[in-house]
Amino acid sequence: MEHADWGTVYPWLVWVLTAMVGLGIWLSARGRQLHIRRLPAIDAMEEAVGRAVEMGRPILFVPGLADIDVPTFQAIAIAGHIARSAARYRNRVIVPVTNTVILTMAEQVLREAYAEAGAGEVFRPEDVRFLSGEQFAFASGVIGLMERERVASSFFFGTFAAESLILAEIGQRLGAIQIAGTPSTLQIPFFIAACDFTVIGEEYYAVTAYLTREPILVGSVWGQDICRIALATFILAATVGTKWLPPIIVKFLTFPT
Amino acid sequence: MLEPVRNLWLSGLLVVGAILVSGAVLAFLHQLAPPLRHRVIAVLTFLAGLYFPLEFFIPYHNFLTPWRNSVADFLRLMAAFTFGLGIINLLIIHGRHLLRWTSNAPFSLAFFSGFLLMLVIGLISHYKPTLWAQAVPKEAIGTVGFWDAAFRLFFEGALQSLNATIFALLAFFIVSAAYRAFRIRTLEAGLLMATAIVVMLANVPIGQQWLTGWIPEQSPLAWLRLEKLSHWLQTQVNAPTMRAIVFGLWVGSLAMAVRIILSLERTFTIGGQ
Amino acid sequence: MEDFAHWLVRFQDIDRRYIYLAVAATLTLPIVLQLRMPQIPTPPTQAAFKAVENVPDEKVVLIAADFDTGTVGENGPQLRTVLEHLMRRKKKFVILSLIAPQGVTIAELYSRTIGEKYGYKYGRDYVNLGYLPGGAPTLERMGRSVWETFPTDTKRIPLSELPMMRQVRSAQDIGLVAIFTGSGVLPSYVQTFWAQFKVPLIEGCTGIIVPELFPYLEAKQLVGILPGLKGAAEYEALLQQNGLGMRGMVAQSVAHALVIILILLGNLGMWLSRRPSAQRL
Repeated sequence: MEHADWGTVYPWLVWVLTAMVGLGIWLSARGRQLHIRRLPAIDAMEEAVGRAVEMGRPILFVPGLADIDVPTFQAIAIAGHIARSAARYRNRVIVPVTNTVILTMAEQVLREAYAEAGAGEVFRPEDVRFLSGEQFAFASGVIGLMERERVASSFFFGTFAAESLILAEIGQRLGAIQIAGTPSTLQIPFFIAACDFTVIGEEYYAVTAYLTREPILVGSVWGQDICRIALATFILAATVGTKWLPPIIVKFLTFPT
Repeated sequence: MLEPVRNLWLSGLLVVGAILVSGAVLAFLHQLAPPLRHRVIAVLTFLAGLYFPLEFFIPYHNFLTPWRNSVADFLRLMAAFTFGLGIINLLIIHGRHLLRWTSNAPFSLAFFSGFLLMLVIGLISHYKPTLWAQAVPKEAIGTVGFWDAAFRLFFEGALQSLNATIFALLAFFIVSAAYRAFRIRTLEAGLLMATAIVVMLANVPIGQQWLTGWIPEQSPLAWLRLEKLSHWLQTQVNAPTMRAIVFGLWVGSLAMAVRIILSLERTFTIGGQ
Repeated sequence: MEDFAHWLVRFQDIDRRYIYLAVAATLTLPIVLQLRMPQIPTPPTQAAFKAVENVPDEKVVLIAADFDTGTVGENGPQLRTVLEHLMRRKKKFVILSLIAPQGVTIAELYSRTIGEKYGYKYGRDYVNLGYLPGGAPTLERMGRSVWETFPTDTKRIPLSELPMMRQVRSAQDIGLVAIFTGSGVLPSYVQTFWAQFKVPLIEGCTGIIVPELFPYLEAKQLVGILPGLKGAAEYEALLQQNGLGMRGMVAQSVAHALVIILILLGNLGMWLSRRPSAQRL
């Protein structure tokens, strides 16, 4: 499918979902109090930063096999928050990356986070490191960093593949508090097995909203939840209704190939 | 759509022109007051972010479609520019370790030797394979020249084997992680472990042949055969759950994309604080 | 008895180095000792086997070697056994890769070694088109015109000089696409070869991505799967061949048993340590 087929429901659905997210943002920006449920993994982030400070050791933040995509942007946004918390206690955050575009982006976000907390001099540009574009060369580089720097807390947020367990298991052996979150569904079990806390599925995109409570972000998370309820209802109704619906509507609901 | 310029002078002129224009745009942005600069960046982000959705949602081959390859090339070029930054980052970090001869200096030495060796051999084998070496006769199929062999030695002999070694570590880590994590403290953990054991046993002859292999295929109890149970668990329980998680994720991703295009993601927008 | 229980309690915290040693032993010994175990082919592998059998004689098979040395442990035996099958049935094939430059080299190496047995000749019976970056758009172009997308093969020999390629002009001349990978490249092939050109697809994948493929199998976008090393072993069983898959499966079988035993021991140790009498110890 090269272009949208407006004879089916799918392109319409994208705009309806976008509108729902927009509604959430609009409501929240107008001052409406919207609720997000508690997420223990995110509550533990502050504790993980605090522990690293107590132990006088740095924090590791791995934004995954960073590509220039939405999950990585979210990971970098989360890195900014961790850096802001760490900067308050004048602690270091080490961010190894696999992509040079993300390197520049992460460096800028961290620099601003430290400057904002009034700890600009604590930030070392070499703490944001490009290790390698190769998956396993990157993994071995991160393992080396973890061992040499004896990191006290590790955060794994972003897109991960087979290296997820290698990194998390080494961190576990070093006794670091580990918090992970990934949109790569196949890697979630590995993180659950080896990390202290894991953010699962859509919670990944709620992290920044939960941490900042900024109305726009909270509104968009609320909008996403409405989208999910609507999608689930739609799937259920379409599945049950297929038997009785006229063929033209069934065709409208069928994914084009 | 945009064909490569063959004329050397013209392409040189275009490159210099592009650098000058980019410099002027950057200088102009620096001159602006921060709120106004933020607004200009937001407008540019919006316009740039609009291209791919518009191209997709306008049906059939539309006025934006011919530019698709050019836009993709442009993005690749932008990424290529930052590649130099990555190398500089590596050189600075490792160079500093070497100059100060810190405890990490041996690692940095390994980096520099690997980096330079691969770079030199790669360049020679690609551009001048006959340098200080004999050319390979055309009819000699299956024979490689000296530089090609050297490149293969480092690429296939060293890099690929090292990659495979790190990947193989997974086998050890999976077992130790599973041993540690699968403790039945709750009912859910018990259920998870039971399913894991069924799937694991069904994947190997021990389970298939020896444990349930005796149940006849046609018997009403055939569903108890491990491979059938495992297939059911994977397609009817695991697959829908995975799909549900993926649905949730894509909605989140859509919302994040909307926030970025509209420059509402203030936690992340560079220079927007 | 109490002493024995006390001894068992220690299993809740086995030093990881012993675990690593046990894994190394269980993985290497069966391979070194060349142990064998029987295999029951599952429906996805049977379907893949049938798809290869059903390729019309005048058409070629497209081998997409989208893997590198990282996953060669699983994809290697799969590719070997499928190549063996193709050669036994005298079917011609074309090799390419969308994401892994090393994949095509590995596939050609296998073709050469297995081909010696069946008298297969490069250019007459198989061709390596090489690495083709660019994803679905490039595959689509290839489906429309192989010669335009690949003017030469990976050794820079023009396609016109390779006798076999004279019959391979577009997707219409391809009877089956067999993908071997540890990554999510399938959508590119589904969008092009399956959806546009109606060529059936089979995939040999690593064990970890099997759950991702079942929806494609149910939607009939994939005809068959060779799931992980097990898939290779099952395919070998269907071919009545004694290959790498079979040998690897014994190692995997014993390793799975080790995991299960370790988990059970860990739990046993934990339960025993929670008993009031154990707490007094």
